[in-house]
Amino acid sequence: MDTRHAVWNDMRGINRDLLAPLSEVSGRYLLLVACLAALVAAGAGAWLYQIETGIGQTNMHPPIFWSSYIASFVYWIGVSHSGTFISGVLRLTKAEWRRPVTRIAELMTIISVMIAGLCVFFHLGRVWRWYYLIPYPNQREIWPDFRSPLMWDATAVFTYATASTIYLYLPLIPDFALARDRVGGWRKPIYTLLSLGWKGSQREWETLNTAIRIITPLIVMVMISVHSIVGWDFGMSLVPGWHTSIIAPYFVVGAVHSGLGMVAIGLYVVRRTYGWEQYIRKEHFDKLGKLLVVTTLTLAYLYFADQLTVWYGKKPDEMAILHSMITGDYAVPFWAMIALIYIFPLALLTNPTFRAWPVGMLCMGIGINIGMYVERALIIVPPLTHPRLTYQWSQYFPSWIELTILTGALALAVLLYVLLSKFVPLISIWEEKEGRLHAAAR
Amino acid sequence: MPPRDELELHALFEPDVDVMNVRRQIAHAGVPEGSIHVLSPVPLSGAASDRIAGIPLYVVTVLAGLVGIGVGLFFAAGTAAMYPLMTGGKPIVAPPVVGIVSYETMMLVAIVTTFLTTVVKVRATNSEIRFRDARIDEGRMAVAIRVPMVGTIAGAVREALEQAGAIDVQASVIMDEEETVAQRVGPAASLLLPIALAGALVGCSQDMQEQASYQSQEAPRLHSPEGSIPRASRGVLKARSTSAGPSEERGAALFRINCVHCHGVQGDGDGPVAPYLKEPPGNLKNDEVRAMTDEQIYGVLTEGKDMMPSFKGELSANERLDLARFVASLSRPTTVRADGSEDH
Repeated sequence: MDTRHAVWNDMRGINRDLLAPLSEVSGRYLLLVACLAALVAAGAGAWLYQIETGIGQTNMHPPIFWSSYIASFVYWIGVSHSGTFISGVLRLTKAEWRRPVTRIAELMTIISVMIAGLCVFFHLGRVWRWYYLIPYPNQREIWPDFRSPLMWDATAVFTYATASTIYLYLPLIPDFALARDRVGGWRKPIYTLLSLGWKGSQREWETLNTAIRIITPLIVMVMISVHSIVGWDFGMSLVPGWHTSIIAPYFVVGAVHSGLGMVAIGLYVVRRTYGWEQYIRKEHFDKLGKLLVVTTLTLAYLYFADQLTVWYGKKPDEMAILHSMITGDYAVPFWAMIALIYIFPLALLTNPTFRAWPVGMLCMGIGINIGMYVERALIIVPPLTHPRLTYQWSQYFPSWIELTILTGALALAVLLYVLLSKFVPLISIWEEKEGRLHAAAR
Repeated sequence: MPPRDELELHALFEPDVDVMNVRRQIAHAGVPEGSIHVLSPVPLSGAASDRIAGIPLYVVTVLAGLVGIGVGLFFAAGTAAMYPLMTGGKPIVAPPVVGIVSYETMMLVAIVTTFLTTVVKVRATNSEIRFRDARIDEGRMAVAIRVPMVGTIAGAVREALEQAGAIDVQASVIMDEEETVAQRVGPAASLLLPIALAGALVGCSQDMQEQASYQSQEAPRLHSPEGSIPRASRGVLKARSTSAGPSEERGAALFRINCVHCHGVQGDGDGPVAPYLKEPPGNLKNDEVRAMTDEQIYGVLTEGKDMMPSFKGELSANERLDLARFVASLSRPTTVRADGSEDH
């Protein structure tokens, strides 16, 4: 264990290590940016084509009025819970291991919320009328229907996006000041502006810490409300398979599940790329794995409770959906989902050796995210393809336009992360130093 | 502007310095507590940390939260009061909904106000200090003190700092702050923001009648108006089977639309509305149907049978023929089911 004196002496090294990504640009990095930009361009082209030729380019058709875009919206909002959960809940519980993880996760939050917002725009048939989404009266002075969960959704997602940007920015102020004094070029004036003239006096620290302490519980409460409301987008309708009271907590836990999986991916990639083995240690993967066991069990419990009620009630309209998933058209994605988000995590993450294996945790993160994406699609598609009266029964698989746009959106998320890694220190430098001092004092 | 008669002294210390002792010594030299700033790379805990003057931040948060509830009430309940429209026999806003919207606006206003107050407080604090030494972030502590230039107090403080173990003491005359980037960008940003907002508002037409649609008093048209989104370019059913002929596939689609709700997906007579009928619908796989030719089934579809209505009005002759072929195929070993999958 480091003594306090050694930690103070190490601070120069910590600055050097954690600021290094801001100034290094390798050929591989540029190649990655070029590949991602090409994918984003393909997605943008497909979207333009869809706007030009109409929403009929998707495979949506009555009664399938929601599909892959809305599934992606729900998925990305879920991923955005990574930052808030890791950062907020672990800060509330004063978990020391959060320190190298929070920034990586908070950046994911901001980017995921942006991509989720974009998915709503993909779904708009006439995207140039996007402002109908904003609550303002039309020419007949009729306001939007506040009884609609979509209206609550717009309010909640806006609140969440604003709050998580603030939550990312506040702990960044001292790090921007650090970068301001050490990074030159075009970034220096931006760092100067964003660091608010930070000097590091105790009054500044006290103000900053008080603000973080106050905002942390608030943003956790916003996080829970956001995904509950996304759940209510479904739960408040009378569509069989959606109309269940358990849907809000189920959505929240599912969001945290996919968010934690995404953090595992981020931790592995950042650690591997920058050789930060001494910052992101096996202990962090282990702790993340334990949290994933908790979310797996909770999610499995909620899912089982919900499906058991459906099965026991034997209502024909709900049973048709259940059958289509267990043995019908959607059996392959359904069982893949069950394996990826419940069985593999439970079987492997309960083993301490596996949890401390970074490559294993990377694979687990990827698996959970694929599984959770399929799960979002299975919430939306089977109930819509099996409405109450069978004459409307139908099938759905996304068109190549939808797949291209959504691949472009995924590439955009990664591209934004890769670009931001050249501007924002990926590990909170002052919190890392503070954590080491705390550890040395114990 | 002539320089003000103040001096800022800044001293750098090793991290193991006793901050409280340094503060005591400076205060002893005649400097008020409020003029002493301890700078560090991480927040110092306990006695070394400073109390903040002014309204506590949490009070600001609570007050802003209350304002946020008011905003939510204004938006949701205000809408109901100003536009008492009844939709579906219910008012446009219900109490639980007002609660949900107010909850979100409460959080939004509370968090944003707390953030803005924090920014103002941080700026107010650090504008009192000119000193910034990059060595602090490399594991040093520093103290910055503002003292009058005239008199002996500056010399006494410098002496106290050196006695306390300062490794570097510097002094600078307080002049007006050089123009910072924030100050240069500030006016431009304050101009850009209203322009951007105005641009956004100009873009937001309230006129729904701009979009392609039937206009008031306009004679009915046979075709969709130009610019509206077509949706008939795609078949609803995607039969995967290639074993059945196209006629049977068309029949399967028609069966799903017209027959399944009584006769069931497999034609077993167990459709979702079957339990509510006085007379149960026929099982299309029973011997009676099995014995019928396509033409006889066509006849039943055309004229109806028992409780079953005629489909002469709903389906064309060709459609009825397709449907009859499909119904006949239900009794055969392999057939296209109405949901598109194969049944063996």
